[in-house]
Amino acid sequence: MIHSKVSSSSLALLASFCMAGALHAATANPPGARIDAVPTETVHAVLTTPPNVPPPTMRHHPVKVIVELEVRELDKEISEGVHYTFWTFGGTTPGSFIRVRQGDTVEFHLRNHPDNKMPHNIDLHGVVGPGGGAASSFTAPGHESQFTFKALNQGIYVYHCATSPVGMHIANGMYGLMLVEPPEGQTKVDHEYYVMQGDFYTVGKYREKGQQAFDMQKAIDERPTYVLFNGSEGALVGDNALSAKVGEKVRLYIGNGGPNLVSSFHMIGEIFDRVWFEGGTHYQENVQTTLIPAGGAAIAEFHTVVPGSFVMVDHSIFRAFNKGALAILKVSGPENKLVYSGKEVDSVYLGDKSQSLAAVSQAAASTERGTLSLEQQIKAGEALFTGTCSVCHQATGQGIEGVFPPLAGSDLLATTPKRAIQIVLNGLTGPIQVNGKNYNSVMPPMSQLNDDELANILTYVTNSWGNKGGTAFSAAEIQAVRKGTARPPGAAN
Amino acid sequence: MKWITCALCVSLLAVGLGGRASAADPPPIDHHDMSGMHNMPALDTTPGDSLYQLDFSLEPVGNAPVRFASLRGEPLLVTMFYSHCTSVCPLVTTQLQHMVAALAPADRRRLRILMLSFDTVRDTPQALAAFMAEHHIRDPNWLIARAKPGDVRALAAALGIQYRELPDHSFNHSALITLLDAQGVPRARTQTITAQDPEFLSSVRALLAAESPKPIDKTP
Amino acid sequence: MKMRAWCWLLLCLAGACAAAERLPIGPAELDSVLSTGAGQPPVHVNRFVLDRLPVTNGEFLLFVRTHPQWQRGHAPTLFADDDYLSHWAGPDALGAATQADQPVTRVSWFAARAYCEAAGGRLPDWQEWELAAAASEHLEDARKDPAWRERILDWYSQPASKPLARVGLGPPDTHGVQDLHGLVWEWVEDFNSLIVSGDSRNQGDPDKLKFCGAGALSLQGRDNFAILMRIAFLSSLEARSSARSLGFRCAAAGASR
Repeated sequence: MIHSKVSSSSLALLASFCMAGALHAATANPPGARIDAVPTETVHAVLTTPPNVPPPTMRHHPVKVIVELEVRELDKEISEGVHYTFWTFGGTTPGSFIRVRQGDTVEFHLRNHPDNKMPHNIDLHGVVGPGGGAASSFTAPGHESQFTFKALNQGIYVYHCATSPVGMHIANGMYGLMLVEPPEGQTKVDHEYYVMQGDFYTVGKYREKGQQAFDMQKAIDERPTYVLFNGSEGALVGDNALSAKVGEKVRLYIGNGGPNLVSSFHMIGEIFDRVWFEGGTHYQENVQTTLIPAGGAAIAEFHTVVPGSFVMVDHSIFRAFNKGALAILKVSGPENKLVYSGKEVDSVYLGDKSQSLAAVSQAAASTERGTLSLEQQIKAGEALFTGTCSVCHQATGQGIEGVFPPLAGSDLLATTPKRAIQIVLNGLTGPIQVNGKNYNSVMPPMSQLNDDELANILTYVTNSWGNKGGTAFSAAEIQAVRKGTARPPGAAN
Repeated sequence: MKWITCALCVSLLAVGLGGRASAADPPPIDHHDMSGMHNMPALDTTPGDSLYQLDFSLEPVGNAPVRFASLRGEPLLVTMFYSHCTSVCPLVTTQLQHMVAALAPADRRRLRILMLSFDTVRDTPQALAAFMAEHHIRDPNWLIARAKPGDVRALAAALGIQYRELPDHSFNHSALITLLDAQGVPRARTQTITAQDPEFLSSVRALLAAESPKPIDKTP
Repeated sequence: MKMRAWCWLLLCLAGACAAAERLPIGPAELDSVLSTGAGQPPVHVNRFVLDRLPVTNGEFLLFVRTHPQWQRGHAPTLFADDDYLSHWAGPDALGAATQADQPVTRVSWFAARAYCEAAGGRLPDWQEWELAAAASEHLEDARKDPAWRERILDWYSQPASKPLARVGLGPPDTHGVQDLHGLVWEWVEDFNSLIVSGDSRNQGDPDKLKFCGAGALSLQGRDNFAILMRIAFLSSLEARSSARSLGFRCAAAGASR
């Protein structure tokens, strides 16, 4: 036994280091049994580019999976005519989708292409271990790192680069998703899609053309220029839109790489039957909008019922319409009017003018032809009376006692019907007596109505509510009075 | 015409080289002077990844200077330290001692250990001798040595050890023990210093068993 | 014909050689990004001279011709990896695709050191490089100038697949040195003193057993991303590594500390 001549305080220090070290050693390198035996069966992971998802593993036991992921720094279009240097896992933003099963042992190879300028590493949120793998995967350009981890927990996990400055690496597009399937597998669906939101910060303005550089200050201030699904404005629209048919079940793996923003993910015109919020084990049902944290993910399932274009947005809505956070799912197939009929009626809505003005148009047409009849005038007059004269004189022509004189059975109208023309054109103030009652009110001039309109209204009034029928007023008569009398100040025409 | 062009080129070249030299005259490359930062292959038979491609002079405590490449011939455990280190280095030393003690006597006689100091200023031969005494290191196979700063940097770089001197003259450094085979090729590494590393120890034993003893090359 | 070609080659190389002048920098007190704990005083950097420009393909070609042990294929794998000078047409020939006045890249730390030694110098230390690189055209210490930082960050966002410009196109800084930024990464002598955890989010979380004295690992001024990325890059390398955007220049005269 070797003894060192050290002081007691050093011994204590040594002892504490020893204990810490022993703990460290126990987890890293326990003598005898180490981790569970590595499975002997080895498969190569199928990696897919977004929006595609690798097929279900259909495995029933853990295996060793080899994942080979390459980092490429690439110049791509972030919006039409706008170029940006993306740093990518597998050549795309988001990066390749990795699919394994809970219990698998993953041998991870991270390759940094020699043409890249920067060193990179990877932090997989599904890894239990220092840095999520970042500490063991720091790789210079032209090199490859390897580390192995066990997929202990099921779920949908974000991965991203964690090289300093981390925010810049993420903002340049270094994120993606890894699915760890539950051991019992997942239910079958017709389509699985991979959608991942990210915020981007450029020196230039939104859609300013040319080569754009990353703007660190905007990133620190959390003022993105673009908020996008799958790394570019055109990624999931037009020809690149996701597709499904009516009557299908769709599962979306939705990630949010950030670096900064939280997503309020919503699909316009659809309701999510189930959302595994935060990518966890439990689901919520009947969800309209779900929150996806930066550096988080969720799974949403829904079934298609009617055809159309269903727009996925971040419902912090200015991001959708002013920064590009839009993606489309096109559903094709037969319509179902019981669920959604489309537009049934398109008619003019007049507010409280609930009467159709069809009669007015008809009267106008007849006047032009010279075939205007009394009935037509009365009908047109009724339509015009409503909402204009009826406000004071009431729809029944009764008026309001002591305030507005009646028109129904009015002795004034009975004795001097043509006086009505002057009253409607020039208004009436001062005391009058109608049907033995005194009124001293203000009737404003209605001279804004034209001759035909006034003729029709007066024809209606003098032929309704028991007023002696038969009288028709003509536009010419109205015109004569209009010309012959002066309007009070402020009146039209 | 050809001749004039050539003369022009040569004279221009002379001017060019002379112009560079005026900034600081390069020392003549003396192939016999093996000190300094020269990196010359020691022998044609040395494998390309052998650390003995690095040829520089070591000053082991209590011995005349030897060349690093002269350690060829037997397996070597190599690490780097500094004598006034209080946390990691004593643990490395203890770890090495445990390892040696765990070997069979015949293996113990063959295995060499090199501890090279980071601290080229303060780790004088006296300081290193004191370190050896403190840790009861008496085995002639165990070399506690110093070297020139550039050579220390080169060996650390080749081994993958990082180190940095701090203003208080302590050092930030990684702890790594490397096993070189008789030809100087790294065969195993360990960073475990507070507990046994059985896998590393097995590698040491296996290497000693695989490589039959060779006479030690003592040519300077 | 062969003679003529050889002479023209020498002419080019002579031109390249003549340009390798060194400019004085320091002495100065440097607030280094590698802090040694809060409240530490600045680091004193002694006077030294630094190459005005990065070492070029032409200059390195001359070196490997006079030191054939450093030619591609001859340099042992301890000193140079598989990508060493892979862009040259041959072990001692540049080829048409590689210009003599571009900065030499795909060189390992060992190769760069050997070159500088043969050229009567050495690689600069990190802190010498940091001091020199802090300068812009107008300021001796431009590290807090957002425009300076932005220009450097801009270079980081350009992909490395574009062909390298020739040396000397960048404006001289206050010391007269050119192209410390915007052209290639550069080796330093003590690249393996840049002890940062592979996961850079751990700064300030010392694992005392991994790096003796680990309390002193945190990087000061973490908002200076331009410098941080240099450190991240250099700390990802091994001594034998080469990279397509990594070159070097030499320094001389005077130890840094």
